[in-house]
Amino acid sequence: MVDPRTPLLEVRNLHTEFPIGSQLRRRNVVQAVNDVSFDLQRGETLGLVGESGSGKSTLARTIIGLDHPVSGSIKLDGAELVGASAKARRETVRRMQMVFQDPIASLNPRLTAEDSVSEAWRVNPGTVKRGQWHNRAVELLERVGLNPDHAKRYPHQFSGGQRQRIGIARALALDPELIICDEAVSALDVSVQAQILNLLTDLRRDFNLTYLFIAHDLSVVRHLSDQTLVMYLGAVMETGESESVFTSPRHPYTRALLSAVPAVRPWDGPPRERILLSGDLPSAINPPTGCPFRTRCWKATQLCADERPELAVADGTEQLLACHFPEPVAEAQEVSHT
Amino acid sequence: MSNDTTVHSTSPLLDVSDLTVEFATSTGAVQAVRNVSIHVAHGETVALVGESGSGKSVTAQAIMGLLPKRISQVSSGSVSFLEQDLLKLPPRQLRDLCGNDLAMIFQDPMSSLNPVMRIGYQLTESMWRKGGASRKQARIRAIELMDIVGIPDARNRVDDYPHQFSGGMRQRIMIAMALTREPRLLIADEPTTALDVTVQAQIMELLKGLQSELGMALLLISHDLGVVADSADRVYIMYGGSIVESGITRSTYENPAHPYTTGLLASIPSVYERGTRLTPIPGSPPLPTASRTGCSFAERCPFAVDQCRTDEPLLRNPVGWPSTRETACHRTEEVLQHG
Amino acid sequence: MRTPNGKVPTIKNLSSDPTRTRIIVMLVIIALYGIAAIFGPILMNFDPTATDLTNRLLAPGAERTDGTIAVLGTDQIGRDLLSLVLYGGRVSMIAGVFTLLLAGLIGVALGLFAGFRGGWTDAIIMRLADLQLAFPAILLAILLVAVLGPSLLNVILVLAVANWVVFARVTRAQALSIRSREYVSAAHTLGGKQLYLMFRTVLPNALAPLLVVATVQVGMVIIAEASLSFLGLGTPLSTPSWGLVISDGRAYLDTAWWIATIPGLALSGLVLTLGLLGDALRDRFDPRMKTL
Repeated sequence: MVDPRTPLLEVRNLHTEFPIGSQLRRRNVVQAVNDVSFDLQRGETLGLVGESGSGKSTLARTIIGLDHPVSGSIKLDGAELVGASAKARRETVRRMQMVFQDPIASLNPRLTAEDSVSEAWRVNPGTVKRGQWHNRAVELLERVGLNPDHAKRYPHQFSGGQRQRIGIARALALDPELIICDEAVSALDVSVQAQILNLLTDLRRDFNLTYLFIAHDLSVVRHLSDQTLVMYLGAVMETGESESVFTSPRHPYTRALLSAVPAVRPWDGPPRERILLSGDLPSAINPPTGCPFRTRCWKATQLCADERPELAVADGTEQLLACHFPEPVAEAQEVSHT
Repeated sequence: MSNDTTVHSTSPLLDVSDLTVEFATSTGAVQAVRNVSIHVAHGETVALVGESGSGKSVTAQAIMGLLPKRISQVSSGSVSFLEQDLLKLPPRQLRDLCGNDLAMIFQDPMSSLNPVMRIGYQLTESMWRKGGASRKQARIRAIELMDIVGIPDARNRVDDYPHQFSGGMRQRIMIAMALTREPRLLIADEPTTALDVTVQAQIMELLKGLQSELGMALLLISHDLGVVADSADRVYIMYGGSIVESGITRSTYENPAHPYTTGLLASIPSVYERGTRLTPIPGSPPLPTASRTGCSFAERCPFAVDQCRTDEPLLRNPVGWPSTRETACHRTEEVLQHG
Repeated sequence: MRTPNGKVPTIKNLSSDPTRTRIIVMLVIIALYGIAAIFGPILMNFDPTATDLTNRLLAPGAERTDGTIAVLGTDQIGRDLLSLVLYGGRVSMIAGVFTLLLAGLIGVALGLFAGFRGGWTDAIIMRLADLQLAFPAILLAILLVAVLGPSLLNVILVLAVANWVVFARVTRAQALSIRSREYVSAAHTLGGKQLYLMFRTVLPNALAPLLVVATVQVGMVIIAEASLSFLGLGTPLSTPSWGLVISDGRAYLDTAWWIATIPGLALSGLVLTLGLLGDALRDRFDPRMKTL
């Protein structure tokens, strides 16, 4: 019997890198994921935020098995995935699935909607009997908001939102416990995005799902996630309860990130402080020594260059952050913004 | 938010009137833009907001004469800029105008910059070709512009190639290119959509700063209501190829008079508080269609009645509202009450 | 597009119908060739080894000693040219189709592995391909004929070995671009194993350019077979192919031109049709490929 306190997903000191240039002669290497650790409890939704180059997508791909880490550990319900045999890895397929970003590219153009869903059973013989494929697929498609007559249509006959629904149905086909959403709503129109977010919320409740939700849109993350993890240049900057992280960000990067999100009603409440970061994202091939954010941080000192800050709790709030000079706790500014 | 709303002259800088653009498809001609009228005053920031298929980008392309030639045409309307109808100008004169008083920046800077030409060359080309400057003067001006848009170490980077810059930097370069001749109007088509949110903030600040310095007007095309709220004085909301609502930004957001605007605002999650459920608009944005009866939003509209499906609503000024506010809806009064 | 003088220009309807018609017309022609090749010799009761010297070198339309009309004439040993063309068509088409199958199978498989796996697999296969291209096919043909004697099977082998590279290259290019698409990642995430991903996910989506290549290659293979036979390195005398008949007809060009010309026309017609089919298929699948 699995200890209910064991996190569903445990990631420790994960490192993923990519060679630049020829695969045969490894010269320059991009540190895409640099010593990342976090826990994901059953039933929770963890939002992974970051901008381009943060490594959040690579982290997702490494966890699901599309990319291979150089070192570190990934445990699904206590079972180690890194270095596991192909057979053991195949077992995890039924417990962990992914919804992809691009509605057009994530569906095989030659498969109908129901074939895309039943592919899950095709490549895992024994999970569902062949005779049942059609019915089960239609069931799933209906569950995500499509009609039975959509089952035999091809991807190009659907809208972006509908394609994403098919992708979600596909991810549900193997009855997983954990679903990784890699920018699952980023490519959708605003009105459609809201529909899919509601769908994800409903499915989470109905199927008891745990989500690892990757997005660059902070409002979407706040809406869906219990916990939030902020990444920058492959490393974790801050992580904790979403409420805490969003209302009282302690890491300078998180503060800058939040201040950059434009308000839909800026005239409600006092003018917000805009923190404008200077400079550009540093090269991922030669990341800065010490804290990766120091080159753009207004508080950086020599210490930040010499010592990479550990992920630890700062006085006053519960979340973990990697910073030598955490921001002060924010005063309760309960201004009604929407 | 808005910086300078004083109008420099009474006639608008840009006056698009009743613009209709048709595209050829295998099933006949479809209207991507229908009877669109917008105007931009000197120094003003106006936003064109819409989702996919709304026609906002096509409108911008029509203004600049960038519509794909063989498969599209402007079938009616006029585009008046500095009192000249751009649609009737011979190509040479239009070319002179564009890049001069009228400039445009696009969503993807990589595809607007020539990857095999140095940045300095691309920046200066129009200067010594059209502007009569010498190469040396142009180069100095290029470095100046790169400084203005915030590219560090401009003196040394002026000879770099586009791929040596980051996305945000490339967008700045595009802005620099647009500014070389100090345009009166800058059209920005989704300028920050492909950029990270921190970079987006930098670019929008830059644009605002440049506007107040140069007295430049900005026509901002975007799907992001937040970006628009932050920068635009007035907003036009587009849906299915037409304008469904327009007005002063704040007034339009606080008291939307069209169900689409209401729906859009209700479907955006907030970064300030965690809601439980969003109120999305059912269905999807429409594809441009050849035939259309009634209001294009009717099938998704919670306020729709029979009349909405038969009579297409025309833009009108709701009773009791200032003339800047217009909406194309039969049920405006109800929307204003309940929305 | 602006309206400089106020007149509204018309927009032509973009229709894919002309392309579809082209494809259908080409396919019909090829089908006719095929039917003629399969049933023709049977209907004509043709025996390629029978000689009829009394009726040799008859012009098209001339009457034979037994009263029948030689519709297309006879060759230097009295064989009916119409039957020769039909029979030769059979040989050429068999050579074309089987070579294509063999070269295609080898080439596509190798190309898939090379493109999908990358790394050393890719490097080795591509060097193999380079080796192949550097080696003149003619030499291989001479070698095989010298060792094994002339036969249709040898022709097919030689041409397959000479032609697999283009299939490998096109498949590899497709595999390289498709393997990083999200739906391949999705299939992998669902549990798809390497071979499944290669053959059931990537390959079906890579078929469009392969189809184009295949039609063009068939034409080239048929010409190649004819050339080999022309040089005496192809099918034996008892299996007349178009190339062989053309070769025989060389000596009689001024006296009995029909022996070389008529099979030549049949050959050109088929290859041209195949080439046009390839063009139309390419236009149909992706007009942007026009530069290929």
